[in-house]
Amino acid sequence: MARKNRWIAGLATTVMATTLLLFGESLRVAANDQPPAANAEVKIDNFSFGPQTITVPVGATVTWNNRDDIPHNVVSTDGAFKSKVRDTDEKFSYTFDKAGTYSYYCSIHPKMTGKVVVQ
Amino acid sequence: MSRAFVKHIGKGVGKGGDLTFVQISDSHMGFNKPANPDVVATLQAAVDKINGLSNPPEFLLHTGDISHLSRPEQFDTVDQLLKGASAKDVFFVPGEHDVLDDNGKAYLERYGKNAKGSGWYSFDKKGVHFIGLVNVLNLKSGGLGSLGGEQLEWMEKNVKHLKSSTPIVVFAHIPLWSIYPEWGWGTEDSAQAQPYLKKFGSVTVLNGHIHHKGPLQTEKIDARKSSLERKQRWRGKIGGLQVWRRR
Repeated sequence: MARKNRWIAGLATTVMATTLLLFGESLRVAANDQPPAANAEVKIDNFSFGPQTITVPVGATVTWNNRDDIPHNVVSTDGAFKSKVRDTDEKFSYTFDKAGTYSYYCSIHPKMTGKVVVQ
Repeated sequence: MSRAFVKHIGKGVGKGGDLTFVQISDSHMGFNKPANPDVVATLQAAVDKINGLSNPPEFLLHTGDISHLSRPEQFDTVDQLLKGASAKDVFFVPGEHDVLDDNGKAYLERYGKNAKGSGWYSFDKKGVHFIGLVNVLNLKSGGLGSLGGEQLEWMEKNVKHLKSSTPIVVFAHIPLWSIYPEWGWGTEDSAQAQPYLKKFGSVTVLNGHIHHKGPLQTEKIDARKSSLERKQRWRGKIGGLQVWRRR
């Protein structure tokens, strides 16, 4: 009897664990359906923007953080925003109030390009 | 960073005898990261080497990135250190680090008194014609160095009246030919300048911008073949000093 109870208890635990796992999975799926976090960071390193394309909701603030040992800037190709030159560990933030795709580059090293998708 | 190359143009090339000058570049005054924690010492070492030359140069060319962040005190330091060089005349062109945030205004006020446009100019020494170009402004997204229509037009007029036997030295910060366009090592509209220079028997093209250790190349536009051929002219490395001779 005791042995059977243990088996049932074991089964119950497994079922509970599986339920939790499934539940957890559905939570995670639900989380993916949510809009991305309002604020985001783009790292500048080794002559590149990372991630190169970032998607944010309307109203989000994007902060570029220069982790390179070379100064860079962040200049939108259509003139929407332009940072001052940022030296190592200096940041630049811009809040995107309108939906759209914003292409930008470093005007000092124009091969460095990136994109912010605001939706 | 600061590089120095000696150029010696031998007898019979220009009028008025031999000409020796030194090219220095990429002082990046103000930089202090591990790649070069002491740029003052590097530039001083270059000046010391210049002063130790058995054939002293008549002038210096600085091919840009004088400063790291276009700050007045960084330009001041370079100017001060270069005052210690045996050659007193220094001809500059700006690097992208010299025109940050102000579109080159402070650079032009300091170095561009006799220059046109955003800082281009020419001068003659012992029959050799030198052309300093600016290719670090108005750079487009995804693009390379840029000369722009106004500068190209000026350059065409500038060399038109010269005899084809005149030796030409063209210098700019970003390479004028495509070394590695993927990294921006090239100038997108420099090909437009090639027809202006084709008639000349001797064209030397100098640049700064690249700090990597290894061989560098320059081009010669050979009038006899009427074609652009690439010839290795010198090898250099950061802080290095190499003698380059043309006979």
